Amino acid sequence: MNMKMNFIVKRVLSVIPVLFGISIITFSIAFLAPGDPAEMTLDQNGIYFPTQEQIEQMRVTMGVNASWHSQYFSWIKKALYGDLGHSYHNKNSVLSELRMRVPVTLQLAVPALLLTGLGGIILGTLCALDPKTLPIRILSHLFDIFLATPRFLLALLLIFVMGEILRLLPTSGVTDYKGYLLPTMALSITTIAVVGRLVKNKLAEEIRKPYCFIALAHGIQHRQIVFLYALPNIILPIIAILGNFFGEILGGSIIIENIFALPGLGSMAIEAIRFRDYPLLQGYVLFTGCTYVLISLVLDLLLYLLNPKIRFEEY
Amino acid sequence: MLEARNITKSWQNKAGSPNLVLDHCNLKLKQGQSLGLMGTSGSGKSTLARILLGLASPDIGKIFFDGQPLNSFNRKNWLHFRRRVQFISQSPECFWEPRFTVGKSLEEVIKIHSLCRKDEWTIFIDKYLYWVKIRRQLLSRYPHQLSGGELQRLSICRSLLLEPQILILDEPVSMLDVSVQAQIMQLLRKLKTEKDMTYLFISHDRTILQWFCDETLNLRQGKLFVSE
Repeated sequence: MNMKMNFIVKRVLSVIPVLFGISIITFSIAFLAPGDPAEMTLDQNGIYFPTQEQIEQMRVTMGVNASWHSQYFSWIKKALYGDLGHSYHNKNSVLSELRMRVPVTLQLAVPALLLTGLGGIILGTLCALDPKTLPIRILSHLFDIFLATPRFLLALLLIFVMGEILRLLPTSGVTDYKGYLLPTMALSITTIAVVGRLVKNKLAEEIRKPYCFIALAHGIQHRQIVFLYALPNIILPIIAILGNFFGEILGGSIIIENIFALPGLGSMAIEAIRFRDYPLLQGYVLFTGCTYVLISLVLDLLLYLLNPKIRFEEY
Repeated sequence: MLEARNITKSWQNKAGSPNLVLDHCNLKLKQGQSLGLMGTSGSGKSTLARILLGLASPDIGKIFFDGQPLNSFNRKNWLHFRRRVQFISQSPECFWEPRFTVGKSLEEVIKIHSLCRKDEWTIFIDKYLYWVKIRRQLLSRYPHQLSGGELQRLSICRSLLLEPQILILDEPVSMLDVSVQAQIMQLLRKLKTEKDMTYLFISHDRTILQWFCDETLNLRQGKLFVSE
């Protein structure tokens, strides 16, 4: 097996114990949660004062009278076939609930990621190209201001300016693409500032490195050195940050989704907590946990392919 | 050929006050000369090299190349200057783009200066690889996969591609093993006699400078003195 395949196989295999850990934590949420799931189900079914017999019967039906490990294996077996149970609250299957919520969050997360990546890298590079000009100095200060602004405040300001004063965009709901514009902006602006400042600082550091110095001595233009030499060398930590940002929003941006009344994963998590809807909460934790692990796997593989130093290390 | 007139440069130290590194320094490199520049660590040798290369600007004074001041150069003049004056550093591994194979880095130099047609790159590079005694197979490697000696030879090869008249050598052998040091010094000496090159050899090693250079200047407290 060559070095590349060796690395990929080892990295993919290393995901298995992490997924196993996530499944245990997810299952334990319902197992350790206060309250008897049988009583709660009966309560949801309208039986407010169940007899001991009814409770016992429901426990047998639900399989919650068995030992922890047999319950876990039965749960994981069903989960592998996509059966994550049903919501206590609205009786929908957890999978169908996820199918409904994930596209909303994705429609928010993907544009936010693209906007953050492109905006942060372009603005940060502009700052590094000509750091002493007035517009670039103003931009650097704007980075600092947006870095210090909490997302909920930014969201409220955007609603106030774009929705109330200018009346350009809807302030809640997702009837069409316009409904996603304000939440995407609210999510991205702070992160653009994070990425922009990181790109600016990393580029300034990279340009001072000897290999850029020698490139200048060989007659390569400063602009070319920034774009062709320095930028590709600093892109790895930027990709890592963007990956984490994507994972964070995919987990549901709870505050933003609530402010803009978006029926995404974040809102689902809040509802699940409010109604003590453990199957739904389990579905949420399992989905976000697995998403993080997969994003981290993709990032590692990407970094491996982009960085010759890692690529030629022994695995 | 290359002349520094009245060069003064100071850096700000941590306390914010100026620290005078070069104090009205004058230096003249003549065709075919090997001029040594000696000084302790932090005495300003590398700063002077950067200023001579036009990669740092002096506070006072000017650098002249073939009688023309560098600060009056246009883009064409700069490209010509970059071909004629080249630089070799003390830690070669830092001076190679880490993402490129060394072969690609060599090609970049040819590309920037349009030294030959693309289908002639291989023959063109081979000519200089022969000079520095490096096998072509090494060109597919990344800098971190090569030894210090190999990289220093390749650094010399990269500079030679431009057929420079002047090489500024900033402690080119100080980071290498003694046996490799001798090989590189022999190579530089051979280049000088066969290609009539001009060297500014920066070092803190008096013995190497005495063996290699026609004349040596000593940089002490920002001032240049002729060394005995």
